[in-house]
Amino acid sequence: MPLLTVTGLSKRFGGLDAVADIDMHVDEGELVALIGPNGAGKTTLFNLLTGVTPPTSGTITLDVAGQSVSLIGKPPYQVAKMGLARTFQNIRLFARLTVRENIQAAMTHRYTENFFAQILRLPAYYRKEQLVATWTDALLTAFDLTDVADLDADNLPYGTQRRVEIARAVATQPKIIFLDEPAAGMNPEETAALTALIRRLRSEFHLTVVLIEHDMSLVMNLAERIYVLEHGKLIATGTPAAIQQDEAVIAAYLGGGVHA
Amino acid sequence: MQTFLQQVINGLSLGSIYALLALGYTMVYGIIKLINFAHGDIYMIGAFWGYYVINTYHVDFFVALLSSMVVTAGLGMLIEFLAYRPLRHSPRITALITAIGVSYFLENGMSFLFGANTRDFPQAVAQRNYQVAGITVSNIQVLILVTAVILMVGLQLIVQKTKMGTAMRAVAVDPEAAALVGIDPNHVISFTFGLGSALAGAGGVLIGLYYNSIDPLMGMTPGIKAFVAAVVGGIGSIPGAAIGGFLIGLLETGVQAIGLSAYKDAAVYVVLIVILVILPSGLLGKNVKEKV
Repeated sequence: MPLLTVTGLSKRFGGLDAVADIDMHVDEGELVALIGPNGAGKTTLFNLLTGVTPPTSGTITLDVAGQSVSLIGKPPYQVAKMGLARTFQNIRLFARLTVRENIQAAMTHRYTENFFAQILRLPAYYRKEQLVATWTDALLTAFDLTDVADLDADNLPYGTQRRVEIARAVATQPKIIFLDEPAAGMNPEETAALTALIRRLRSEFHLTVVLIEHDMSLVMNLAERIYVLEHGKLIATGTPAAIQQDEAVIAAYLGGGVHA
Repeated sequence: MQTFLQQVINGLSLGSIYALLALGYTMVYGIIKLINFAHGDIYMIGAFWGYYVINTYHVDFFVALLSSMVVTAGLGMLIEFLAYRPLRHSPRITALITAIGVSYFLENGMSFLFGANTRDFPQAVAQRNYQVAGITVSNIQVLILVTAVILMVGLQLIVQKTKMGTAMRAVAVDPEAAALVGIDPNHVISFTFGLGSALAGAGGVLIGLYYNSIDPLMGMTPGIKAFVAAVVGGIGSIPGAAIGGFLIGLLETGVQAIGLSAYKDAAVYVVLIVILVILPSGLLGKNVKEKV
């Protein structure tokens, strides 16, 4: 059974079919890319998958220990708890919180203890606090953020903010991480570093990765499978090699003017 | 000079009560961008609860204070749940008008149930005056100031050092992103109302002790002044609200001291106008551009 299964997913805004009748699946450990011209509905699809916007129709199910669990109607915080994390096209860090606090905020739901245990500093509090501290330090090291850990997140350079955002998503301990245009606005060196980082998400953190990206070299280099979206509909799916040869994709996307 | 110092002492006592109230305004505003106009009435309920438990059960001041904080915290969370949560995705003006409605409901509900007359707050702590270098300081003034400062330090620790505090700050910056990292915004908002209301309840008991009289409409003017204090300090800023509260308290006693008692409320509103004109984001407020 695939990790994530989507059938007949549609979202209608007024008279516009932002996303129409999408069938897709993501297997455990896969690295899947979602591409398509601007306005094709990629971010809307991410919003549907993470519970930000409710779909008009269709199903989304997640495999939780062999059981398929529907994500429809679940508020975003529950979807996040079930193991779907994401980053945003325009970075949305918790400004005025430090990098460390940004990461710890994302662990709140994993390590909740009684408020009184926190206030009274009961032993349970220290055990969990120790776990949080260890896991935070591990993430700071893994994402090369140790030096900036105690700086406010909104004062960091762009590329670093991206890393913080990805680290924050990983801190929720997801099964699947959705990256919305992670390479947007990056120079070639930063993109190369990001590519390596995304590979590590899978190898070190055992995450399944779904990414939206316009940088075709990054997509073709990373993705094992690609979904192509145009005008809210899936027009092709397959390996990078197959997608590059696909008539419909060339006509709709590459032929229709390449979007940077 | 002595008169001046005397007024500073009086101003700090009054100001610490405004500060406790202003913290509730600023926290709720910081997290859901709502001016909770019912906040002053929570303070009134806190005072009435103190009146009730001291008279009926003859508890001491600290039991009255703590039980009042628990009761008002519960009430604040209940009000949020019943009145504001259903309006979470409504325009801000809807929630604002609802807050005014809740305020009237509490004021008139209390008048209806218990009568609108003013009553004497029981003297849970016998007043003693001390003369220090020609200045009169009462033990109640010291108690108010110390209690308020302890509560404010406690609040700062909760907001800065606990996970719930981190979650509160995260939700204040970006509720949607916070939800997407697994923080339940409703839980955090409820907690914020509880925390702010507990401080208001504490303020209610303290003012009862200080002024000795309470009535169902006692929350109106202090509520608005505390709101001014929150704006002066920079709405959304916790240290700002504390500073704003003390400033308003000092201003009010100062205006009274120079013989303009009749204008003490007007002076506070003049400050509001001046601040809104020359420093709209307040003393410590961040000038945040509206997100589109």
